[in-house]
Amino acid sequence: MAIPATILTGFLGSGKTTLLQHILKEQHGYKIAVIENEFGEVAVDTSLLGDRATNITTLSNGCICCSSQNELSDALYDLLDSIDDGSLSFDYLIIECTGMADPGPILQTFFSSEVLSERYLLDGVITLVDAVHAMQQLDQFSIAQAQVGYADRILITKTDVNPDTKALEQRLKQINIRAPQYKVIQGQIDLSLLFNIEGFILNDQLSSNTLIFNPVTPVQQAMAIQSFVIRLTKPLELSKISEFMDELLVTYGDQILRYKGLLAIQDDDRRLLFQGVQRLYSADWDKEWQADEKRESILVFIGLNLPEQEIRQGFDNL
Amino acid sequence: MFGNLGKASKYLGQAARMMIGIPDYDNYVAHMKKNHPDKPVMTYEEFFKERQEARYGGKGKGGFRCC
Repeated sequence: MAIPATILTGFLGSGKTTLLQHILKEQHGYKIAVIENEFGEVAVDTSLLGDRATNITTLSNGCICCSSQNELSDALYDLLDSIDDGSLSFDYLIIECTGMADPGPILQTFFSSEVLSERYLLDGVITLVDAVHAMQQLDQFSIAQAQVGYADRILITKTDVNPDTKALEQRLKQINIRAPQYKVIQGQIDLSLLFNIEGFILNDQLSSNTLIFNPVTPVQQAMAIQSFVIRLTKPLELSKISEFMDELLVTYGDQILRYKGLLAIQDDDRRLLFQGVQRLYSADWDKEWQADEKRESILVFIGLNLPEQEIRQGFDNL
Repeated sequence: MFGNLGKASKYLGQAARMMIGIPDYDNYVAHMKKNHPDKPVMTYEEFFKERQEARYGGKGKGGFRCC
């Protein structure tokens, strides 16, 4: 069975280590392995470590801590080797990214080879956001925005220091309307909130009511990651929407972080689902529309400087 | 994008489409036009098949080669 994996990201000082310490020390019954992403940070003499040297330490509660100076994929393969030779076993894998890391390439690593795609199941991206400094970081660093943009769950930390998070919550929602937000103090969190998110499984979680925007002023920023929702009541012609989506990905593939959709297709009683990360996507038919359901297409895009009006217009013209 | 429904896995990591990706095909076409204007260019479907075979060790073993 594939090993579920979670990517834990967040800007410098957002509380990732505190959360991890909580996760690793707690007697929760899970055997969790953590890979600390130090990849490429320090120019260590890798000839001393060998090509694929991953430091693996087993903690008293069965949790495993790994650090590697090499690529993430090397560490992922090393863990698989250790499972195969029987020296390790664990139920769950967490990747702790450094504060300045872009989750994009880390996420892509899980889809980069057949072996990694089959033996790991990337469950979700959890992004920590510090209630004290996040607004400033989001203004200054597009990487901080990308970390929020890729998220399946957002954890707002340090709310004990700054309990007034209303504006921040709005801002985060503007960047990523999909991800639910939770407040966490001192890393105390129910692990069920972090696990089994199914962030990269084709499902219809979009039909929830979370996708409702309060009108907010668009962020005037040179590099702004924002999300938008498109709702279409007219059933779509399969070939046309297919072609239009291809075009969107070809044109804006570098700017799109994540997207999901549930579509009502002309002359078909089934719902069509799709989801993607940058240019990688999957799509398939889902169950039939129920009699009490409104046949409406819902699409969510999260991207950097996407021309929202132009894209909306394109969908309206279909 | 929706031309190959029912064949992909529900998990993005296993969805066949990612194995090629649209940009790969675009790059391939651009490369052929620029460097080999006299040679035939594979269609998207042919390209897809070729890439899959290269990846899964079919007849195109050794990876994709255009020149």
